[in-house]
Amino acid sequence: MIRPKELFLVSFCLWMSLCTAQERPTVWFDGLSRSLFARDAMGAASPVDSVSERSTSVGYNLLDLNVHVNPTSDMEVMAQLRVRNELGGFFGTGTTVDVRQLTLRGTIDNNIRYQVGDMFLRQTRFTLFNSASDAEALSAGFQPYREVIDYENFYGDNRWRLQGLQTDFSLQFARFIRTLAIDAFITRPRGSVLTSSGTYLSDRLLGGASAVADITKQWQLGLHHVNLFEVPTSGTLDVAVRNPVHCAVLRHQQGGERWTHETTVHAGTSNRTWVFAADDQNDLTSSGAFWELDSRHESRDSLWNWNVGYRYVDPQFRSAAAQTRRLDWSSAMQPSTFATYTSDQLARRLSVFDLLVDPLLYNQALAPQLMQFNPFLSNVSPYGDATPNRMGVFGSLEWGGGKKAVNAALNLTALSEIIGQGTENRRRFGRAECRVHWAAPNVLNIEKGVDVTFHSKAELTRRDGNEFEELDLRSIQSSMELKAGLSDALTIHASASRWTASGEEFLSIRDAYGNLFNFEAAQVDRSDWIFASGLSYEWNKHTYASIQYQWWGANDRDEAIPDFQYERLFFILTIDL
Amino acid sequence: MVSVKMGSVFCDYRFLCVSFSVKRMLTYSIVFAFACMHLPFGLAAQGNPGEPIFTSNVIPEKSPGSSIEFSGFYRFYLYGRNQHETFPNNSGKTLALIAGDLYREPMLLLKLKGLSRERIRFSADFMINSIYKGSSQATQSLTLDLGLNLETIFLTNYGRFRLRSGGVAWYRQSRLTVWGNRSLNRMSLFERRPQTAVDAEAGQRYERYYANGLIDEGVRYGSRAFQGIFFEGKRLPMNFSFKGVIGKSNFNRSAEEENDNFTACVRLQNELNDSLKVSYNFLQSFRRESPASSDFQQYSISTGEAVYRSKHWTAQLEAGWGRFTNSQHDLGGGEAVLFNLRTNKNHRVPLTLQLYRISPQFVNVTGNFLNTTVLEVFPNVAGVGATIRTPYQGPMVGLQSPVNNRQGASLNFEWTAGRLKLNAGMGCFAEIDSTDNGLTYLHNVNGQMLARLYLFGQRWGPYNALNSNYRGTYEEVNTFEEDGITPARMRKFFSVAEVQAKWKSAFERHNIYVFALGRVNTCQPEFNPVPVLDDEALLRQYSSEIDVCLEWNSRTVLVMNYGVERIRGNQQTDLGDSGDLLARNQTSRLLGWGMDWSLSKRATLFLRHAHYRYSDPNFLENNLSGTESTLEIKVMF
Repeated sequence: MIRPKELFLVSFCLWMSLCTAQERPTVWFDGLSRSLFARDAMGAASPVDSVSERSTSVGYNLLDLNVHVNPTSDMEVMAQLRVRNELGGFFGTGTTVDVRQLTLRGTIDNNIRYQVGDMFLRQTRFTLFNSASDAEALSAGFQPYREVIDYENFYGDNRWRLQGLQTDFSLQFARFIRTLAIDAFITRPRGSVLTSSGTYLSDRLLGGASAVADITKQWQLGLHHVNLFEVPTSGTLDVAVRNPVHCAVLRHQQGGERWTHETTVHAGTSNRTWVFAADDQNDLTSSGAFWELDSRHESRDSLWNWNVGYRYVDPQFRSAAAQTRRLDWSSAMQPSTFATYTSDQLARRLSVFDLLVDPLLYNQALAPQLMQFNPFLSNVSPYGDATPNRMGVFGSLEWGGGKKAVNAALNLTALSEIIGQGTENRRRFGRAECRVHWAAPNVLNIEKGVDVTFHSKAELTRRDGNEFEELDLRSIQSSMELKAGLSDALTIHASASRWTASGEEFLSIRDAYGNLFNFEAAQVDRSDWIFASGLSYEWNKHTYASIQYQWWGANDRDEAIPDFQYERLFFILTIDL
Repeated sequence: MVSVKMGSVFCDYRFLCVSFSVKRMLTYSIVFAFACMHLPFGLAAQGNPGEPIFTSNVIPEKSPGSSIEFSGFYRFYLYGRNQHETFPNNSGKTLALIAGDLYREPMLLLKLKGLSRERIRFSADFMINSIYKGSSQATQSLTLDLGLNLETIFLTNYGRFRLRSGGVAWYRQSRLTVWGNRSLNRMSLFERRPQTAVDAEAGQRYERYYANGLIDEGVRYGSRAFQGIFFEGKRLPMNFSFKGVIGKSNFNRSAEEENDNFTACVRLQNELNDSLKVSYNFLQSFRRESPASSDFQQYSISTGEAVYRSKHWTAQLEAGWGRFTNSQHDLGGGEAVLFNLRTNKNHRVPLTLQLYRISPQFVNVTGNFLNTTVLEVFPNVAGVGATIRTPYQGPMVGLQSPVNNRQGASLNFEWTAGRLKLNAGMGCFAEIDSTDNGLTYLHNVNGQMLARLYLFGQRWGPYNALNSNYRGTYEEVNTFEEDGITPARMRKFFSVAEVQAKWKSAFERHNIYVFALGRVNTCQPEFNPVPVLDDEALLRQYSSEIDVCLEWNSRTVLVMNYGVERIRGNQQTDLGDSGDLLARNQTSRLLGWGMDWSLSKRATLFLRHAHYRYSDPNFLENNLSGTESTLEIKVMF
């Protein structure tokens, strides 16, 4: 159904073009356009299957046209109009026209910035933050897919896409402190919705404020507050949630002749309350705190960069805007290609290939409960740095700084639970992540050089105890990409990715209010793999064409779960307008 | 009382809940404000570069942006039809008043064309329609007319390469692989096509048709719609060039959109010298009818093509091999040869000779010939199948419209004597294999009127013989043995003659154009190089159309059209229900008049009014009459 608003917008475009033709510099355009085609086919090693589809072909063309209107020099209205045409939809079938973003922003007297409508917000890692997803370490060679997923889900720069009002301004002081930045926003992550049961869910709002003061050149103090809450009167449910989180950040920076040092302390509290309307039902409250000390050091020539820190996050610390996951494994996530396989039509479990390529699996909505996660992919910090019930040390070491032919990074994390889950014994977690990039010029007589990228992440989870308590879970994600430049813009590349996990874990089962009440034992001994090779032509970082052939599959040692193998021919053309 | 009390408590609680959150935020704000008030301060400018100041939001950066322009047209179209005589299954509604074209055509076509900073072209064409039926109905629609297209060009030392992605894009390769319907432009100008552009002066369209017979029918004319990845290379070393597409064709669609189907074609050409070009063409079409593994169909075609241009004539020869297979049958391979010889236009009597032979196994729905041997090759998609199904049974078609399972020759010539321009042609064709197919013939007169009665209907009408496709109707005829019951299995032979006369004169300083078109098309069981005009022919089709256009002034043209078509079948075809058991004896007449009035250089108003009649004394229920009127205002921008 086409809404009159869209009709208006196209007329608006026409009007704007006329304005442009009259050389009134009030309107300008940018945006993105993309063509994506994929043909999937069952691989030769797939199990016998006379029922499932043997091959599919899907794709689309889309144009996201951003119309920027500057009525005055300090004000801008931006509308993003999305036109999408499915491959195989001819003459209007499979065509959708939609408004994807609508925003007003500007400054008042060049001092106070404001924005209304769609916005992308981030505060701190413990208050409002969009942590990376589970399979990042496997994405070498899959940058086009990664960009599609991030773009379609508005995942840029660890921000959440929200809709509401935001303003910020800064004050300069003559004495005691140098500057004070004030930032506040109120947004609505979810509007009131009529559910299938006939009830209305309440409006869910997220408000926040920050005050960040540069006290001296070395010292900075920030106070942050966010609150996710529901307005009960906007719905018909008898329960509403409130989740205020407070965070203080103290940062000290110091520069020496050879090194710069930065030490940051995060500390804060949270409170999440389910407020019931009925008098005879007690409110459910969980309160928690966290703190983190992080000491970062960078050499003046940027060659070396290392940090070490300690983090403590209470088991009851709840921060919806920082702990919401991109992948919610509790929802019915299904692969969009080959959802069933074998002649028995078994439901195919998600593989890492699905996670890397399917933007529809990802979540954009903030949730007040902890979402389910997949411990076989990410068990150490499934909710990012704000993962509750964790304490321990972390550190990293980087070398190269983008200046050397070889750049390397190593991240190490050793955490443990603060309290045991279902037992007094606590889990211990270890994670090692390594990334190496080698830009080798004149290798194998290839004029434009060869790039080799290796990325690996290993996670270990252990818990001692009796046979019911004991845990030993190991997972390794590794990927490697080889790129050879045939010309300034044309490269040939090949990549291999592999994820293996073996061991056992207990999946947490939580009620509607996020309270843990049971566990489900799960075992895994599985490996997923992807091989890909292709050609890419790159005009710039965001404008490129790539054609790839990919082989992917999974092997499970459990004979009840048949292995599978598929192939994909993939083409993408992305243009940054 | 209790529930009211509970509700009020809950309302209070809700109020408290909101006020609590607001209070908390207010508290913080007040604390900060209080702290700040005791210090001397000033608001800092937000646009100044320097140390980054904290903000939870993204700092917008103004990019150079892309250059974008819009073009297109607005086409207001009112259509009225008043039926005096209807088919018996008519619902009782005899008057139709419609705003907007009956077909999927834009009222407002807004073509967006842009050029990115990397000089990549992108385009989309918005189609905005409103059926003006009052506010009670959902009357607005916004969609794309064709689709989105991205295009870029690479200039290298090895050649010029073009990559296009998206669609719908119009693609043409060779007559036997990918080529749209394109014949001799013998037609009446009374009916207008939506794609036809507006001229600065109303008479220019008729002048162009008189002068060279070419009418601008839009970009799609002569090409086929594709979606996918298009590639092209020109000016390659050793005079090579290539082009191709991998994607989907409108003519190759599965019942379910996600089922695998694709069409891939490529052309490799070499220009040996200024006169001679040779090329290799390939096409592969694959379609899976259902998700289950085994139900599929595919065909592949390989052809070689040579084009020789001399100073006086051009010869084009394309010959190839095709093979059709589906999950039930392997039709095997078959040959196709198409030869065209054309003298140059400046020749005293320009001639065009066409010879062709296309075997029954040579199947293709994107080439410039009709498929008559494999019904399953047409998409079995609801709504779509009917829109693109061409006459399947032995079609009686005009000159230069090849058909598979057929071979033949046609010759056309042009001759000018003063103000009279004459072009005429004859052709004779024979089926290669005998079939028990019937016959189909396209209605030259009233074909569009019938198609508008039931859009894209298959086997409709009182005798289930009519089939409507895009702006045309064809009718199916069964053929029988002498007993009148057994379907006839025979080789059929076709003979065609066409003549068109164009005449221009001036009357009281007003230009006047007369276009007369006569066509005879017959099908008979024996070979005959000329149309058979007696009952030996299974079916005879005669049609005559005359257009008279009076250019009243530079802005106004008055037009008049008269057309008559006669269809006669012999006793081996369907017999009627009049009681005499006689075969077809159809008459179609159309008498119309109208006006083209240029409102400005880019806007023209077109008025048309026509009386139609379609009747057959031997098929009593084939009896239609009425009027059609249209008002069209087209504005280009």
